[in-house]
Amino acid sequence: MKSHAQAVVIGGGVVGCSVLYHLTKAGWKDVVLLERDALTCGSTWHAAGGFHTLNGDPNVAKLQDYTVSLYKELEEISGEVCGLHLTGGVALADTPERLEWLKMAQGVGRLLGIETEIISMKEAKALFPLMDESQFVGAMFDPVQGHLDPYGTTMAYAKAARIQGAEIELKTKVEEIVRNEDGTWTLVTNQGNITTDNVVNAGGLWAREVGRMVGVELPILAMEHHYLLTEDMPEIAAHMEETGGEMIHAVDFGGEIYTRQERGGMLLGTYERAATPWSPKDTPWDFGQDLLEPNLDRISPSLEVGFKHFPPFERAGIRKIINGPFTFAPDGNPLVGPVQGIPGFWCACGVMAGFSQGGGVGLTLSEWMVNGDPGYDIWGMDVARFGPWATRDYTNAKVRENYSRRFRIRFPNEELQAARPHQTTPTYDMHLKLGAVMGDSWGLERGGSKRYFLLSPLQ
Amino acid sequence: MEAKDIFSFHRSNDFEHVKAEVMNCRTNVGVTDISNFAKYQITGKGAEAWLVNIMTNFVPKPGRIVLTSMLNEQGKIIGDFTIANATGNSGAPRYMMWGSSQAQLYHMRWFEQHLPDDGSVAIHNIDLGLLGLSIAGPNATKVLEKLTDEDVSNETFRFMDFREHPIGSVPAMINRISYTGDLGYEIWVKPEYQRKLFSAILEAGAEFAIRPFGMRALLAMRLEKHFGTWFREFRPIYSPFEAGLDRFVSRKKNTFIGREAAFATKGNPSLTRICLNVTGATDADCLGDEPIWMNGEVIGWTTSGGYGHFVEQSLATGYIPTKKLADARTNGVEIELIGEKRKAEIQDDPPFDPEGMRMRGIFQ
Repeated sequence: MKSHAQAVVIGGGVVGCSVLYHLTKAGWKDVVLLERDALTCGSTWHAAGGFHTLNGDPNVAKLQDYTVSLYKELEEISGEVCGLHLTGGVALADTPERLEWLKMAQGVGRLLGIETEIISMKEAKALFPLMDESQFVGAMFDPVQGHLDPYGTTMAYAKAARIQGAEIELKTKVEEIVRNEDGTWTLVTNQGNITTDNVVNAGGLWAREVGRMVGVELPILAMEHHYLLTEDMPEIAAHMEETGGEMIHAVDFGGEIYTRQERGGMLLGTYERAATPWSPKDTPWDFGQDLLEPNLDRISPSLEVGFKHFPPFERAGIRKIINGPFTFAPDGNPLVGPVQGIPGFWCACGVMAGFSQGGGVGLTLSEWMVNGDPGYDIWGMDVARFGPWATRDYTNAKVRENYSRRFRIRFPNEELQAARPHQTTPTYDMHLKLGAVMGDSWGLERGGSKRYFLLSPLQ
Repeated sequence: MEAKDIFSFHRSNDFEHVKAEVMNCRTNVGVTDISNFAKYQITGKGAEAWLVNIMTNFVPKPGRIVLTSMLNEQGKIIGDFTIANATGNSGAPRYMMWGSSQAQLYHMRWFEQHLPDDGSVAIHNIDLGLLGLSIAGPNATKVLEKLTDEDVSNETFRFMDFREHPIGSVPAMINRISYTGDLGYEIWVKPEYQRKLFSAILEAGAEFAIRPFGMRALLAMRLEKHFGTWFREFRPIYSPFEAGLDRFVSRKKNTFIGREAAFATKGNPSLTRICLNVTGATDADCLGDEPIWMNGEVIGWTTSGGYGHFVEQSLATGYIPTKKLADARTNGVEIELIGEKRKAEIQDDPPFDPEGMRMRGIFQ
């Protein structure tokens, strides 16, 4: 291993490899990635590998669009295969409000030049014949989504980075990060020391541990997440024979389910209400290519809805259930950028959708490091959007809320309640007595986001 | 009766309550809690030079306030601030500054990156060490007069003045500005005084039937005045000339971060921020991120929207290419609101008090 580098990336998941690749692309060749075990260990290797462009924040969507467009370039440079299946997908609305939400999402898509289509249930059924269309009121077709091979894609990033000059050290565990008097960092590893100006925390499941090495507690929590693979289904074979193509993706908001084809069967994942954190305080260092014990009871309410909405699933056998952890920030978006007060320490973590967002995270962070500016509007992903109020307990409550609501609508006048009240001013109760509806902003109860007074007793 | 929202993408059960708060504020006087603003104190002999270098506007004289934007090297907006010169009789430079609460670490990171190494400037993020209440509306001065024996008449305590003296018997800083776009004051006190101040304001305001108002009312009122806000209208993808912040960029300053890049867009910005009256809106208002259509194509996007209860317009603001502005002004545009295209007209002036008379205490 080198003794010095311009930047050292900690973590060999899809995000770390993307940051490494993008640093070389931005012109830094003297860059090293340190991976504790093997590439993809932790959460990348067990990802369902889905990707899509749409996001509630158009600026984040723009970076997801970039990520999806990147895979061809990666395959060309690396010679590796990302295993792309650009199938398109349908989002299914089970209520009129959800259909309104889809129409608004369609509007956001238009701002990026993404043309989606609101379609009838008859059209939706033709595209995705596994559903009972009477369960839904409308649907949106999005051509730009699909899935890929998480392992192959990570290898493609890594190989492309190596071709462009980066080095990758496997089985190299960072044990300590020391700030030197001249402002540089020395990383103490089990394979020796390396000194650098820039440390990138792409630690994934261990991002909290890496943060603690420099004295910062990052607001990140890993959640258990289930998806299952079915046995081969005759309906899929028939569909493939009829159309010559594979089954498209589907998201069922009411059932809190996403599903896609995997070989001759289907993959079905849930964001269940009974959201369960994994390793709430410390992530075990010996966790690698490991999975967690599946808990069918926890996901059975989602599966019941799934069987009702997609009857062929009930007839198909379950081949495999995967329960694997991955990380979330309190609002579900990544934590990217330089940490305030710690010059030379950069974050690229909390990326729950690595194959939709990993490319954009790598691009913007590398631009930021090399040119001093991310080059895009990444406010929605900036690590600085959380303050010291985002403690471990606060994060735990908010991440659970966010996970369990992932497929639920948040209305414009809806205040989320987890972890509140958190900070209050001395007049908090006086406002309540006056009839205030409170909101929170920057962790403070005062109606920073929204508030009104129902009645004025002073009239 | 418990206050409970009915969640909807359409106008909901809060509409009448917010309207009542806006109407009371516009025709009488209201009070709101503004504690969540970010607050900073900047001191040191290099403070003025530092502010000149990182802000687009000039630095105010003692006892005065300026509004300013802050730009990155690319000339794009990375912040908007209110700065008061709080230098007292001792002459030791001291500036108070207010900004977006959500962006305080984002901003501190930038400030620290640009502090001189010689220790001649110190910036302190006060956070919740300073809390605020704001009174606004035509009767705001009358309420304030009852809370102090200092002269706070319109002639003596002018628009954009800053002061430090007790209000309601507690030590306070007072800014004569209001995000409502109306006559108003922001009163800042240490947390241990906030209860007493709030009680004093409510008591002094009782004879005018003062009413509290909330963030929804405040946001509706700022739309009536076409005031922008961080994270919606002001983001690092817009230049100050695109965002309509021209008057907060000093022409007299030869240097500040982002100046050259920003001035390259002056006179011919590629985008223009517009104020829209959504005449076709019926039961739902814009929220932001809606497409703006003209002649069958999407030409721009909204950044905020809502109902202007005092001006009785469904309002939106957003960006379109400058080269399409003349056409859009003449022929109107359409906004895609929950899947339906709604007619909208560009208004050259904000619908509420375009001359800014009321902020200056002049009521016709």
